[in-house]
Amino acid sequence: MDDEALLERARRGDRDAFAAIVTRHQDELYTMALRILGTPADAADVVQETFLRAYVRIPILRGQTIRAWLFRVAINCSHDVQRRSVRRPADPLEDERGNIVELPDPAMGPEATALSRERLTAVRDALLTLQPDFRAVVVLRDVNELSYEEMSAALRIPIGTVKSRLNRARSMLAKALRGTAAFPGFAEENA
Amino acid sequence: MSPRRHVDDLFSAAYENDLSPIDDARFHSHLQSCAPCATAFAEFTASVEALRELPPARMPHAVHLPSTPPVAERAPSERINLRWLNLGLLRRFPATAAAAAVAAVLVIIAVTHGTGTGTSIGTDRPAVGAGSSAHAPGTVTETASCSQPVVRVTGSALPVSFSAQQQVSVPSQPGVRLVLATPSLDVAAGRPVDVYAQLVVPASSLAAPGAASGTGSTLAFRPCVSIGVEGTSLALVPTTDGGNVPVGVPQPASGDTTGPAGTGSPGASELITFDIPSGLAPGTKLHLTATVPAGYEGYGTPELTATLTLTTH
Repeated sequence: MDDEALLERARRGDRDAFAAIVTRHQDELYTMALRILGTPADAADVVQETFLRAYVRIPILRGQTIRAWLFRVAINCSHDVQRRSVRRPADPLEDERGNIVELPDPAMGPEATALSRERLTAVRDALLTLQPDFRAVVVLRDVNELSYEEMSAALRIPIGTVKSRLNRARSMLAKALRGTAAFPGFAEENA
Repeated sequence: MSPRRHVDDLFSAAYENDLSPIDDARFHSHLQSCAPCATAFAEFTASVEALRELPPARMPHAVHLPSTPPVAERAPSERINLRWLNLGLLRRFPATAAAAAVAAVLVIIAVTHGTGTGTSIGTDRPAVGAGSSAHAPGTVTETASCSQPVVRVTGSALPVSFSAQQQVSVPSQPGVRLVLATPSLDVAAGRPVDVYAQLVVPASSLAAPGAASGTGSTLAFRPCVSIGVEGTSLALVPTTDGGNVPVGVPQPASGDTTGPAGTGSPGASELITFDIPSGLAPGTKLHLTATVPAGYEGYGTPELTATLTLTTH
């Protein structure tokens, strides 16, 4: 059953239909929030808040793509958390219960695993140096793989702005990775 | 203008294979003659690829949803099909149509205000919309969307010590306000927690004959209140129904919220108590939710939900 059918059932009071929407989208929203915020506990709070907001707004959700709408709410919630700027001291590679959530491919050897983990850490840290608007656009595209149309709806900006902002965000990310040990091939300073 | 600035703007489009054939040819031609641009584009591509290598993460715990259904959809109201007017009836038989309309109005009046039925609408009853059942003052009302009754209460001001609160209002209906509050967001396992939950509706906005009116006159209700334990299906039920006024809580000042005398449910109060289970670990999150179904009692309000997240210590 697609999102629209589930949403229609949820509008009629079907709690299980809404729960199915939650199950379908919670992990991608959590991934997005984790990449934007960097801390699992904050990301989980954002997802919880997103679905609570969705729950009470179901009656007025009409003619929209629920996925883009959920991402929009989650981005707004993430920005709220960023504004509060209460960073929790946690290893972003672990969830709030201490479980590793980003294990590299177990088929890789120890050295490759360490290198991969170093790359993950470098990329994650570089991402967190971007301004919130640029971080959001690059996460939506390159982590969550949203289409330009979905990004436009989620960010409430024209597609042309999505593309130009994405270009700048990716360039900023590349610049942030320069000089990191995990990316030795990157020039220290480009012309 | 440096050549590099030209192609910087095209990096994303080039990476996405989104360039026109002509621009694509120019872009790659430029890279062959401009080492800085070629290096920058290689880094750009490597960065995006590295970002895409980040593995998806999993939500570490279940999302808590309110125990009430997502929406208390109102039954579709019967609508009179007026398309027959387009047949030209009014034009062809204006007198007959007018007479029929008058007769219909008289029938409706006779039905709704018919004598000899022995029914009357009390002047202190809140207005109800068409199709709503009439309730005697103080009647406990069961709603389809709520496992706990929404009850009429006499109304009281928010106790000053209830510092953790959330208020929900309806922009289109000034004066309608749902307040959920508790003394603190930190609660102790094994101890009771007092909750204040009240929906206030301006009586002056009610449409029924005899409804209370006047500036500042309001009607108060206690919404459905529940506490869910995050990560579990455990839902707490209230242990007292307003019978206990928390020790140390100043008594509400009269006059802030008024209801017609005697209209509250016997024993019902906007104060309600839950016992927090003693087995909960410190840091457990509890979601306190107050809900009023959409269109409750015909007031035309949307579904209102106020939530607070409590944490055990």
